[in-house]
Amino acid sequence: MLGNSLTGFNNIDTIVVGGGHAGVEAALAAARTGCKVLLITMNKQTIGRMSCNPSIGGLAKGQMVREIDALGGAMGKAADITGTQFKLLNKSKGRAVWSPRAQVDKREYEKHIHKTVTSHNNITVVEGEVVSPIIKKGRAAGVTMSNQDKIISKSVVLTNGTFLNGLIHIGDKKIPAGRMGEVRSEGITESLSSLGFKHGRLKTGTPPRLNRETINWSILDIITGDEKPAPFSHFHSLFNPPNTPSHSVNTNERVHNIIWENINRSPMYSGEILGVGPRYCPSIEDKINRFKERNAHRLICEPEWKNSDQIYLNGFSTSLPEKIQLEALQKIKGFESVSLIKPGYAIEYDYFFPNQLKTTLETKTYKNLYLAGQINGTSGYEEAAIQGLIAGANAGLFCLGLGPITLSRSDAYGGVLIDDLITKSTPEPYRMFTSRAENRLILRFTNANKRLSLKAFSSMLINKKQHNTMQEQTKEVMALIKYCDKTITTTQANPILKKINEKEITQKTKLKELIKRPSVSLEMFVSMKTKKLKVRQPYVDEVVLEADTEIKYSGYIRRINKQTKKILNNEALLLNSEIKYDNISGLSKEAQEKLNKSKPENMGQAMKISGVTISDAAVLSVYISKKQRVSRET
Amino acid sequence: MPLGDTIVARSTPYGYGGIAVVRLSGVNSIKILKKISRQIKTPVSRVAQKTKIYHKKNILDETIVVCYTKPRSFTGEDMVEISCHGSPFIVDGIINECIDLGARSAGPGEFTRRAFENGKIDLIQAESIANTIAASSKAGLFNAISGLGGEMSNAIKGTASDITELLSYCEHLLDVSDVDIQKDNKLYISKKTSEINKKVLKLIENYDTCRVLTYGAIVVLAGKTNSGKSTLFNALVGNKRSIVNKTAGTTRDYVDANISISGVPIRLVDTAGVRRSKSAIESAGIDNSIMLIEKADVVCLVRDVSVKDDTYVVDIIKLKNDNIIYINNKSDLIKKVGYKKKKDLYMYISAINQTGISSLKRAILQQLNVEKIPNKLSGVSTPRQYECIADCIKSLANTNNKIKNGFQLELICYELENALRSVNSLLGVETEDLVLNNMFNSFCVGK
Ligand SMILES: Nc1nc2c(ncn2[C@@H]2O[C@H](COP(=O)(O)OP(=O)(O)O)[C@@H](O)[C@H]2O)c(=O)[nH]1
Ligand SMILES: [Mg+2]
Repeated sequence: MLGNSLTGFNNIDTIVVGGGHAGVEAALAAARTGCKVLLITMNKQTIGRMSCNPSIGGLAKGQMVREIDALGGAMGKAADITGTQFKLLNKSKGRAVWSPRAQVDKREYEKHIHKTVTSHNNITVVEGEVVSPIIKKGRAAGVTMSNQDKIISKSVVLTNGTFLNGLIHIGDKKIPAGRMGEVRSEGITESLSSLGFKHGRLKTGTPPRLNRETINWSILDIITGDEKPAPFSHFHSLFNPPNTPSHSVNTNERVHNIIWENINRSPMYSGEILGVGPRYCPSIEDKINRFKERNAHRLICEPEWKNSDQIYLNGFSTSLPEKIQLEALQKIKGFESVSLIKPGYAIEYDYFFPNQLKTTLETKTYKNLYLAGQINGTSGYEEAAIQGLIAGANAGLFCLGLGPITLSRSDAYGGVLIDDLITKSTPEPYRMFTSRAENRLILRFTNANKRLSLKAFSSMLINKKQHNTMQEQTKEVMALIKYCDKTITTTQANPILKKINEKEITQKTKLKELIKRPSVSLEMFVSMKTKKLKVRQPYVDEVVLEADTEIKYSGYIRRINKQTKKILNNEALLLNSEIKYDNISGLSKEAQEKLNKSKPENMGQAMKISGVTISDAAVLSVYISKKQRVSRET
Repeated sequence: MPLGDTIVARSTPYGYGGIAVVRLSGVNSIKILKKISRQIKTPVSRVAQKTKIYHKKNILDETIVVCYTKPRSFTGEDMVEISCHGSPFIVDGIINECIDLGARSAGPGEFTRRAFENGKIDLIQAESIANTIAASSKAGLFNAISGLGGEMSNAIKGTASDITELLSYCEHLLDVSDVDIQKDNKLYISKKTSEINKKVLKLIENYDTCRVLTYGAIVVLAGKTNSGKSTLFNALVGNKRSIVNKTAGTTRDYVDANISISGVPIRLVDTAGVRRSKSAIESAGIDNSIMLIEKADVVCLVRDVSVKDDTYVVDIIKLKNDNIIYINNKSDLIKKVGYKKKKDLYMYISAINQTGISSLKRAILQQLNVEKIPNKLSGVSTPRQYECIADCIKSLANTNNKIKNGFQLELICYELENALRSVNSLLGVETEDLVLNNMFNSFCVGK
């Protein structure tokens, strides 16, 4: 017996610790599989709180929110309902990297999520502080609370990693987190360490919050959202969000000079922490350093909620001393007499090396114990949410005795995220970028349904109706593509081509061939009204866009699929966790050490570990096939 | 192929010679040496030591051995080099002794493969070793050696880092949401792409020359039977190798010889000749001829001026190869048959009198693009290297196309990534195992 079990909490399947974005999706996902879930949070009021920027989505993250939605998650729908302005980003850079983003009302968002969680039949929410998971015979069996109460469960998901042992830096000033209004979790680092988990420390930054009254709004540039907004969720029957304008300012050389002169006083300055490389930390210090030739950067003033006094200055993440921040900001047109409600700052916190996890986000050492969110070293709501969803789903599926759900790199940005986390030890907060996904040409926001609905359905994360809705949309896309196989005559095509200054055709041509031209689009030739699509707005536009893209990129898509298949063949080779790598002669010392430490599950993961060369991989694959041969013979 | 075990092979040519070298590489190399020598108890790395080598109680040979402890050896593993007397009996005896003690007979190129896999050399250097062995000319040898020294590798590494840098720039641009692509970004990307392209083109500028100098060229004599191919063959080789006969169709299969024209190694092939034939054996020979014509670097199309043309033959050859030297043979008969010299593609020779042979030789060198051999030559020389560069150039061309055509940055990144992959595979940074196996298998054993 495990001491006195907390009354009223019997027969719990899954305990989720923490009510942030990871915790919310974890609890909901486990609940969707049919499990009884107990969500333990330090403060019920903060469930689903957006502690930083008042927006959801953005580059690569927008695609991820779509994936969360396709997997039945809550984030997309909540953002759609509480969004104040919607915009597709990266329109100038190619359609596969177009990313939806929404400005949201933080307070409304939080309210909506709170309701979603607390109204779910399978979820019980309780306030309390968890100090440690209970481990019995190498398995998680519940949690111990700070008052020594024990709650028993079949699986445990820890998502309580928001700024573990947080320490704030503003210039050379250091403040333990908590005083800045951030939640600070303590205690869990120690208990996980004592279970043998290794941890490290990370830094991340935020921009300052400005006082609304002190900005000269009348001279700022106005930004409006898209006229035809794209929703995050696949399941609306109506989508008609507001298009609240936001305002932008530009930095200038005087601003840059002040920052440049004081750059050494910024503990976040990536030049020291990260070194160079394509992946970067988007602080203003870093931007100025990287784009020396550019004399202005655009900053966006985002109200945190309706009529909020507090303005989030997007694009100006910094950890310079408060005085310097103010001095620099006041050189901006419109900010001449600006004052700060909260300065920008860097925060340092603990995280657990995520290479101690499996693709399911279960820990390698203890069964039924899952880790998700900032505790794994990621930053951002979306990154946390997708991990929470996968961890929670697996914690639930386990309780039901069902197989796990995993995402691969060619399935989803979420798959890239988890794979990167567990195979690469990046010593920086992990933020999703499109450049992290080698398959980004096929990971589009318009095809998350096609990529994930079957997976979601077979893991009970969505119901039959949701599955059908997504399938229907995929079918419509395929029908449109098929339709474009038909030929079009010169008299039909040329007037349209002429209008857009495109080279006219001299003979009958397949519609597909015309659409492959960069500046020709499907819409020009197919009237959706006459085509009578089965899907309705807001999804008509994305069906058309998706079909257009599939046609335009068909050559690329074919090449990528071929490459992926080839890689998967090899990557799928399983590596038993019992393998003693130091006994394999031919492996380099470095590879032996790293493989022993991270115990990859398959060849694909092994190849990605830095320090494991192709020749190591060759040695490994020979070793594995030899072993398989031997075990077959005996 | 198990890696890391101990391998053994002779690394000097087979047969009788003054000295032969037997190489051992792998974990047990030094242990095996201790057993077969009995005298060497504590071998010192990189010091030559004299020792007897035994088979049971008998002395096999008196040898000089050098041990190399890892990682300071050619393969990066423990290694032993035994210099023994060159008799095959001694060499085989020593190798058998090693095999009895657990070593395995090395496959072709296995030593070099290990050096590559242990990071001692890169792929280009590995190929250079193969080329040094194969190099049939002095200039080719120079190219091979410059590859071995890493000159080529450095040039390619430079290109790889240029592409990486440009790719990083583009990737970064993709991931900055508040910045739209501007004219200066486009200009920069376009300028860098063409700079890189120029550098890459330079790497294959001398490909033909390098390849010919390293591996030699194949020159095939083709034409109607009885036109004088075999006579010309003998004239070029300098002795009578091919049978010359008045009855058409004497040379039923092909005959070849290695010759050198001004230092350029050439494999000269005399074929059965092309003609309409009914005899089965002969037509088999003719099929062979056509295959050889396809493979040739240069085809010498030989015609007999004293008989009427058969355009069929010329057409068939033209179909199979574009590098043709047109030759009118038997020019000594011109007067006799009343043939009028025409100003056309054909050059006139008399194989039997050996006139016009030196201008033919010059024409061959010209056709091979090696009439002037630069005294310092460096560039890619193997088909694999050429293919990688060609792939890279193709990807760069695609990049350029995407820059000009709508400027789709994500596609530009995709193409640049492919360009980078091609260049990296040139260095073996990410080459698949298949390619590797292929490459190392073409080595001779013991290297
Ligand atoms: N007059 C003359 N006869 C030649 C010349 N070259 C070859 N022949 C003769 O032509 C005949 C056929 O020669 P051969 O080399 O066997 O021709 P192949 O069938 O093309 O190989 C032989 O009798 C040769 O002696 C030449 O330059 N002048
Ligand atoms: Mg002949």
